[in-house]
Amino acid sequence: MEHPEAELSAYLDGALSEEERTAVERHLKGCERCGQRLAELASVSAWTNEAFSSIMAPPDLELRVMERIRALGSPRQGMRLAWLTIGSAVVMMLAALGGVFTAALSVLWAVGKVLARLAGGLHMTLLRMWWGQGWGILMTVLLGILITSLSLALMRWLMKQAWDPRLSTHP
Amino acid sequence: MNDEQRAWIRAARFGDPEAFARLVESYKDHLFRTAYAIVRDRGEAEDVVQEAFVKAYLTLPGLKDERAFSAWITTITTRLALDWIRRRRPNVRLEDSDAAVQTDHRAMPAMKAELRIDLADALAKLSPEHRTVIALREIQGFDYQEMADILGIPIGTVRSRLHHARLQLRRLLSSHEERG
Ligand SMILES: [Zn+2]
Repeated sequence: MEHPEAELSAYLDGALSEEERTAVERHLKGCERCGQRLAELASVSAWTNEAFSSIMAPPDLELRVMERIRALGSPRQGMRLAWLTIGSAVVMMLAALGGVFTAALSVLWAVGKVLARLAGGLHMTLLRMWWGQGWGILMTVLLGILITSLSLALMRWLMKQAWDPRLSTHP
Repeated sequence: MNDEQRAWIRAARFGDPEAFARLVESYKDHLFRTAYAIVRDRGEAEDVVQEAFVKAYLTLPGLKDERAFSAWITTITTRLALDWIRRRRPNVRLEDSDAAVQTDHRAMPAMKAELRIDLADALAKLSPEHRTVIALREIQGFDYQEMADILGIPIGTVRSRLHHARLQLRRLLSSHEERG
């Protein structure tokens, strides 16, 4: 058997299959070089472990984390707030879309009426009617746009409250 | 993980900051070491660990199994740390990290001097991928399957990366010993 060098690290960690392990053990019995290599790997592992264990987190880390967390409130509260916000935003968007849709329908309705009455020749009455309808439609569209932008702004603001923006905006 | 920790995780999931504080207390050193191994800078490692804990607190309701907490929060920390060094500008990287290692020695009198110098030097010579597997294995003692899950790589890759990282460390350490 060739020297199973690539397997020695995994052997050390007990990460070999039963079959591989038996093969490595059989080889180790007759090979001084691999035994030496295994001992070296074991001491590297022990050294690294010890070297790391001398490193401690800064003493105020816990305090800083907890300050940030207390400022956030409960994660469930955060989730609920987020869902509430999304829910209400969707409702407002639907209302706004409804407004726009109604406006579009009334435009079609007015155009239809104008065409119908044009055929009848009642020009002046129609123009006055068209003028009145037009203002109504314009106001509905504007209101729709206003509601949509307000709900978007509100949603952004609430999302900022619910989640710490630092989480998603790394420098 | 013991029953006490599992109870803290459950309480923290329902928004109990005191329970989460206990988890921070018991995991902060491990996670700090892991982050430090990857970013090689104490200040940045602290930032990474803070972010990891806050992120963990916010997403804790999504954790299905309390027993997976350790691997789960390590995954968050490891990914944040790797993102951190990827974002770091390459030209700033070398000088900054070397300077940080230098100041580390003076700033941390409690550490064992020899080991500290060697570890910082040794880590500086390894690639981020090699530093990461070393950290997950030697600091936290994860098995190969857990490491594969945390890093999102095949188990065979974990095996070869860890082996190569150790061989490299062995070379560095033996050359250090020869120099005295
Ligand atoms: Zn051999």
